[in-house]
Amino acid sequence: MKPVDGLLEATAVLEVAPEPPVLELRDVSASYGRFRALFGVSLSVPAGSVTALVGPNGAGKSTIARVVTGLVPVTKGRIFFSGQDVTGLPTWKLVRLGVAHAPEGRSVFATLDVEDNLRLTFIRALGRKGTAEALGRAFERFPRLADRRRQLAGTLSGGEQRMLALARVLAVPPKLLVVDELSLGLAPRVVEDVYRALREIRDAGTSLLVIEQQLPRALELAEQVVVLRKGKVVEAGPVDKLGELVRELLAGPGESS
Amino acid sequence: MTQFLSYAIPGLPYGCVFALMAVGLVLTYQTSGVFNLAYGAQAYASALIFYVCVNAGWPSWAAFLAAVVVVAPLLGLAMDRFLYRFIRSAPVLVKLVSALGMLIAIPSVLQLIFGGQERLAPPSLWLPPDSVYFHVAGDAINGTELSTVIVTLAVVLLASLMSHFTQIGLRMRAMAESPRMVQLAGINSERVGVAIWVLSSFLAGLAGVLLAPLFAELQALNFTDLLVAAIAAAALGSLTSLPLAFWGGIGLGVVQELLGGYLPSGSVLSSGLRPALPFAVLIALLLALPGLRERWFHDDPLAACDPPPPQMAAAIGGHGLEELLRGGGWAVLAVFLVSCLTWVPPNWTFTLTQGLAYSIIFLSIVLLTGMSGQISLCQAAFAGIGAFTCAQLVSHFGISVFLGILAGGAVAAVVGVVVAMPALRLGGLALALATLAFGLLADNVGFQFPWSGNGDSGVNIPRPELGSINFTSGKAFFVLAFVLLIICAAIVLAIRQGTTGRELAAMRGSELAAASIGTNLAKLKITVFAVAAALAGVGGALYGSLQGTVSPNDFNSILSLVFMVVVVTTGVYTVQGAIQAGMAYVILYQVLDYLPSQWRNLFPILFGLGAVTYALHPEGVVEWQKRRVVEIVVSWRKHPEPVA
Repeated sequence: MKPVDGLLEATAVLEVAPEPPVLELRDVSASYGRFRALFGVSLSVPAGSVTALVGPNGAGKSTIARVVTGLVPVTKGRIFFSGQDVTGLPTWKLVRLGVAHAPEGRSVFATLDVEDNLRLTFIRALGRKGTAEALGRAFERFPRLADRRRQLAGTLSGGEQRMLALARVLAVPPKLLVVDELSLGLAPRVVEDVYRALREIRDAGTSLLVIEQQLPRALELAEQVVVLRKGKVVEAGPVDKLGELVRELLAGPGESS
Repeated sequence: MTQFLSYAIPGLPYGCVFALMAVGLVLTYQTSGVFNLAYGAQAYASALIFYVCVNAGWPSWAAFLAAVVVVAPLLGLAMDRFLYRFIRSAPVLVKLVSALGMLIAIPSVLQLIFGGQERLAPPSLWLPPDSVYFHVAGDAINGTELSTVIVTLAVVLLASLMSHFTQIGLRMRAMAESPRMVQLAGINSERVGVAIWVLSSFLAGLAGVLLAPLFAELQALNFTDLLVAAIAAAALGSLTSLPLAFWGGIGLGVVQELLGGYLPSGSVLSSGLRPALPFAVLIALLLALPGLRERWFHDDPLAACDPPPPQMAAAIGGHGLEELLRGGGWAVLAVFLVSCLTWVPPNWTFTLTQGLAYSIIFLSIVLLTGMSGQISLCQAAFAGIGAFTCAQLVSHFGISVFLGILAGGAVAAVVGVVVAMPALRLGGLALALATLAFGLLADNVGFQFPWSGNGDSGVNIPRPELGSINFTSGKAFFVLAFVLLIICAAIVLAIRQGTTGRELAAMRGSELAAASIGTNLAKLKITVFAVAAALAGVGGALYGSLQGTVSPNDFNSILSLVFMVVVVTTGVYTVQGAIQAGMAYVILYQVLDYLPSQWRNLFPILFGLGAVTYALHPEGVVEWQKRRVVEIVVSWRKHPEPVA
């Protein structure tokens, strides 16, 4: 009996042994020159989930996004991507491992036309043949972009630019997508579209780290939430447990603590 | 029509070379954000190495491989890897000064290696220069011209095919906007950057080798003129469009020859206007094309990832440090003054007096660049205007030399106002290019007339007299220069400490922010340009009076660039910096004079490389070291037993 028990135990452990989080930051610090932006931040994004990163202006949200994609170097601590230590890797290698980043503000090449914007990513990831196919799918999903395929991306409206950025992601689903303030400066209706696209991306199996000022929106989509203040994590946990606290923390007038 | 063609066709080879350079310039400017002023020096490097190899008996294809295919890309790559890569997102001033340092240093390094002797009749790349292949509209087309046109067309055709139909071409175009976003697409942007520098440097090398045989002698100066022509052509394409830059280059070459043909030969117009055309075109374009002014800055959406620029040492120093620096400064000044009046030999007194005159000129750079953040590359021209005005007034109207020096300053100020007018609308790179063109215009055309600088023979300025005091003796003139310097320094200090100084500091920080709090930028810029020009003019006139005879060579356009790198190396933010620069300039020159002639090249090399450190030490590398030493002394005084 014993051996079988042991075997059973072993399988149980295997089943329970959690899949490593798609992203894990351990005690990460970062700075811009002399200005420190992150002070020992630890957080993790479980595989297949959506994590919202919230906090007041200047809390270090965008810095986390940039650290995760290697745009800003880490001064202390380590970053793991699907269990693999990726600290210090250049951005392009991280992207090839499966991290995608839709940065704050404009995130398309303004001087390239819509098709070239897509082509740049597709050729690298899918090869010449796959590119034509992926282009077709992207234009089918976003017909507005199809109408403007030869137009310079800089002349698109803010919403169309976000769509273009998301079309790039949708065609080649990454393991982790870092979204920085995608709704910034968009009309409510366009925000709706953006979030629909984000859900699609999640359903395709991508984990998301969403940075968002509009709390209700973020909490609607996210399962986990991490609250950041002055470069440190002050709260973290599932949304249904933390939701109230987060709302109090951020919406309340006594924000300065 | 035949006549038109016969004038236009000889311009084609020049046009091709301009076009190659313009395309290469736009390529790196677009993709790395660095306006590579050292591009002219790169072209010169390849031309020189090609010349040396051919004269050493190499076949021309081997020399071409060495000079254009190997050395040119390596040189460009080295500049990118060791310098430009680190300053891509730095302020325009930092990028320009660094590139300027390379432009000054590279030709001198080459002359140090290969010797500075005359190099006549540079060899042709492909077809022999003496054989005539065919005639077009009466023009005999020789081998140099034919090979230049054929090679250029082939290379440009290949490059444009690559840009539009290959993956690397698409990546290069994307790099123009943001290397970081290219990385976010999963592409190794460093590798794309390397490809761009290799291509661009290859074009520079090719242009250099093609241009060299069009002149009788291989000289570094020709390549600075070539650089400006290429910039003008690139400006025709708003510094963004490769095809427009190409056709701009061709057009410029042709129009230049057409002017030469149609204008009456021997007249001032044909001798003056023809060489001035690229500069005039550049200035006109900068003023006329509105798009050009808006597109100067690089709009990288990920620019926020960069750390802010380093803090200046001046801001770090404690209270005791400031006191010690000030007290030490006065002590050094007193020792200097007493020494010069007593034991220093006359030839060194003369040298140090030159240093005082240069210090006054350099004060103008401190005021303009250090205090106001405007980059002017024509301060030597203002000094020249001051000197020549003084000389002409004294010799034609017999006014006293003192008045002449002041009038020199005043006329320079007036010209400064005229130059400041475009500065109102331009800023950063555009202003630097406009003043560079103005400096070359003054040097090549303006100073060549008998009523101005009188060409190579120059003009005379006697030493001044004041009542019974005669300043002809070296020591008396030294005192005069010293007093003038003190007055000029006091003016600059007064400006710095007053409201204007605060406003200038605000403008240096951010023009937009300064304007938004109600600063009248137009008035401010005109004032500061006028005062700076006046300072340079007074300094120039004083220098002229010291020398006795001055010619345009004493204030040539290259000197404007050298002045800039010298001041930036020693300290562009402080009045002491200008004086250090003036003294370092003359003393180093004098010391190098004792060495074999080849070592004189060390001078531009030292300061050129010094300017490159500007990105790290914006207060000047010399000023930084000085403060560091004093800081150590201060800390010793506070803690008599330093803890290890």
